[in-house]
Amino acid sequence: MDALLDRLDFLWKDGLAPDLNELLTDVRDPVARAELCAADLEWRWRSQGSGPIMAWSASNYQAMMGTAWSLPACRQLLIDAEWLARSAWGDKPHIDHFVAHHQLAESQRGSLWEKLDQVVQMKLIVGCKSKKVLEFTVPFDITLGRQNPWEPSSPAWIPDTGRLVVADVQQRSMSRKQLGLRRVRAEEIELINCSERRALKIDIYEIAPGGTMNAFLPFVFGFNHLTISAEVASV
Amino acid sequence: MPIEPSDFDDPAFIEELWDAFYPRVKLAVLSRVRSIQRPVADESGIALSAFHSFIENARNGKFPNLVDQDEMWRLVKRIAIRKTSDVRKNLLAQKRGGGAIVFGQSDFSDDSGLSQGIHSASDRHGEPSEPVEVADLLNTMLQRLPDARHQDVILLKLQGASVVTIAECLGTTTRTIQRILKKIEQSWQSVLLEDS
Repeated sequence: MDALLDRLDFLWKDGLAPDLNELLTDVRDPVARAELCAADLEWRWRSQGSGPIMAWSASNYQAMMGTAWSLPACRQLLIDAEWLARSAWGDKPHIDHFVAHHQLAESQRGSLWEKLDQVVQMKLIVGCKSKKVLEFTVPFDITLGRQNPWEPSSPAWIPDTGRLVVADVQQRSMSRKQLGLRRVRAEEIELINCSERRALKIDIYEIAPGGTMNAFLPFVFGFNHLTISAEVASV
Repeated sequence: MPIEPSDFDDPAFIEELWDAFYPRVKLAVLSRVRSIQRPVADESGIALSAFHSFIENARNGKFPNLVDQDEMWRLVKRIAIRKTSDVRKNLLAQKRGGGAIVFGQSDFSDDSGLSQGIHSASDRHGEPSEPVEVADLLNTMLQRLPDARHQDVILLKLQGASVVTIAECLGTTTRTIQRILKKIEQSWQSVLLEDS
C-alpha cells in the first residue's frame, strides 16, 4: 500500500489528478482502499487554487470504496480525512454543521477535535497584573469558573477536569461553571455563558444567559481579574 | 487631535490598538526572541507584556504627546525590543552565575521558589552535560530510522511543526505522516526498552 500511496502523492505533486479507480484496481483490502481514497480526498482539497471551491466529500468515494463503505471504521477514516482537509486547506467548516451533515454520533466529535489539533493546537495564556501566571495547550472543551473546595486557588488549570479556576471559593458572584470555551473550527472558539439567569460581561461584549459568542484566534479577554489570551500554539 | 490618557480607558480603543499592534509586535520581536532559549522567552509573552506596559504608561499620562497610531506603534515596538533585551541580559547574567535561575518567561516570570546566589549552584549540578547526552541519544536514535524521510519527519516534529505543516513540507499526506510517526514511536520505544 505504501507504494500506491507514494504513487498517488507523486501524481498529485506533478499536478496530475490521478485516476483513482485505476490505482484501486488490485486493492482488495478495505482499509487500504479507504486509505487511498482518504489520501486522494486530502490532495483534492490541498490542490485547489483560489477559484471556487470544489466541495469534495467523503460520500464522493462511496462507489469507489465498494463494500468498504459499509464498514464504520473505513467510513470514519474518510470522514476524518474530509474534516482535516477542509479545516486545514478548505472552507473550514463549523464542527456542529459537519456533525449534522454527516449525521455523526456525539461520540465521534472527539475524533474530529483530535484532527483539529493536527491542523493547529490552541493554547491559553493567563496573565495577572502584567505577569504571565499560566500557559497550557487547551483541549477542545473547557470550563472557567469559581474554585471548588477541593481545587487549588485561582488561577489554576486542572487538566483532568478541563477546568480553569478563575476565582477563589469565597467569590460567590462567580459560578462554579461560569464560562464554557470550546473549539468550533481550526482557529475559532465559542464562548458560552453557562448561567441560565444572568448575562455575562466579557470586556465590551455581553453574552445573554445560556447564550454564546464566537471569536477568532488570537482572542484576548479580561475575565474576573485575569487577562486570558487564546492563541494558536503551533503551526 | 492629540490622544489623551483617558482614551486608554475606552475598551473599544484598546481593542483597536490590540488588533493593530499585537500580531505586528510578535513578528517584530520574533527573530530576536528565537536567539533566546525557550521556555525563558517567547514572542507572545513579550508582545503581551509590551502591549500591557504601553497601555498602563499611556493611561498614566507618561506619553503626553501621542498624536497617531504610527507614533504609538513605534513606542510599543521599542518597549518590546527593550523587554527582549532585558530577558537576554537576565539570562546571560544567570549563566555567569549571579542571581536566581530564570524559570519563567520574560517579565511574566513567577518569582516563587527561585534559588538565590550560591544556593543555585546545587540546583544546577550536572546540567552542563545533559544537552550533550540528549544530542548523542537523538543522533543514535536517528541513525536507527530506516531512511531520510523518517528522519525529516521526526526532526520537523521535534521542532514543533504540526502534522499538516510536515505533510506540506515533505509533499505527502497527513495520514502518511501519522503512520511514519507511529512507526517511529514504536521503534524508539522498543529500542529504549532494549537498552533499559
